[in-house]
Amino acid sequence: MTLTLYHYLVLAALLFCVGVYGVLTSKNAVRVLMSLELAFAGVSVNLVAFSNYITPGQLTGQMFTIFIMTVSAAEAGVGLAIIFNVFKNFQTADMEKISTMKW
Amino acid sequence: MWKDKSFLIIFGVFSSAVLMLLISLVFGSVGLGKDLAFYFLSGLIVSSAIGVVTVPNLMHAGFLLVLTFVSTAGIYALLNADFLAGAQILINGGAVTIMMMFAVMLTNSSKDTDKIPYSYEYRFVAFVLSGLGLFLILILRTLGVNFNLLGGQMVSWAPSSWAIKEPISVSTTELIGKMFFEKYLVPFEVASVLLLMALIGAIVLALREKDIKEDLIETTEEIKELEEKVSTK
Repeated sequence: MTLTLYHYLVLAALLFCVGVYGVLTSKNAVRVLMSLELAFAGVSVNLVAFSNYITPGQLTGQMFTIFIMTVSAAEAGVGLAIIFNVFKNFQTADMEKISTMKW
Repeated sequence: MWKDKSFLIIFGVFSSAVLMLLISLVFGSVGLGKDLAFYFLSGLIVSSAIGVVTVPNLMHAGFLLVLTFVSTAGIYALLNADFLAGAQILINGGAVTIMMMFAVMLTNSSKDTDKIPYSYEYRFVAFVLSGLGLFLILILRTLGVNFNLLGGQMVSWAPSSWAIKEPISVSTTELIGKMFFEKYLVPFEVASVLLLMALIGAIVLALREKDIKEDLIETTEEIKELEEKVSTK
């Protein structure tokens, strides 16, 4: 079959859902950030596919994806610095144990 | 070797990619080239994404994330986004994943966490919510199924010309450079300010108090030495 827009949309939806599953079921804090990057990749595939099939002259989706890459790198950096601080205080990056609440 | 869970998942990644390739060759009139590349790359992407989420060792998860990003760069190349494919390999596959693996190594995460994951019930509920529920909602909404349960027709919200239009080949690097200075100038400058803020914030957050104290002690000693030199002259 020739490739249509819907093939790329299904692929992007799959990537996003795998990322969401990773965010929900990761016990380690770094793995949550890794699966968040997967979700970003899924969204970017969606945007670039729309930009290619609907408006090929103006690269709106590709510009958006470049900004997504920038922002995701910045927030991954700051998030990892926060995880360093948490590790300094609790000596673990396990999200079940990072809790000082009673129950 | 065959009992190691990480090895099984990584082996499953590559074998599923090859399987996607063979299935696309066998079923239907797949033209060589773009379609073949799409099925192979999508097999690689989905299976290595599942591997990132599932593999117990976090170093393996980092490497599988690199594989996911490189395959996504291949998908961008299929979609006529050549500059974006290169930028994806450099930025996402090169810098972001290395940062994640530094974090894994510095927080001792490759040893103990995630060997005992959450319980089966919790993971099953999460899978049903995200893997089936969200995925089905996204797919059915894009492919045009009417959710009216009292009987509506199957209406696709997208115009039918979307599926048929053949994408044209444009060289995008020059166009992207032009757009950064004409249409997207303000977001470009704001993004550079954002990167500066993230850099300063990450340094302030990760700085140890021992380093600040040592710096203070060193500078006060240097000031004392300079004062002595000035006073003895």
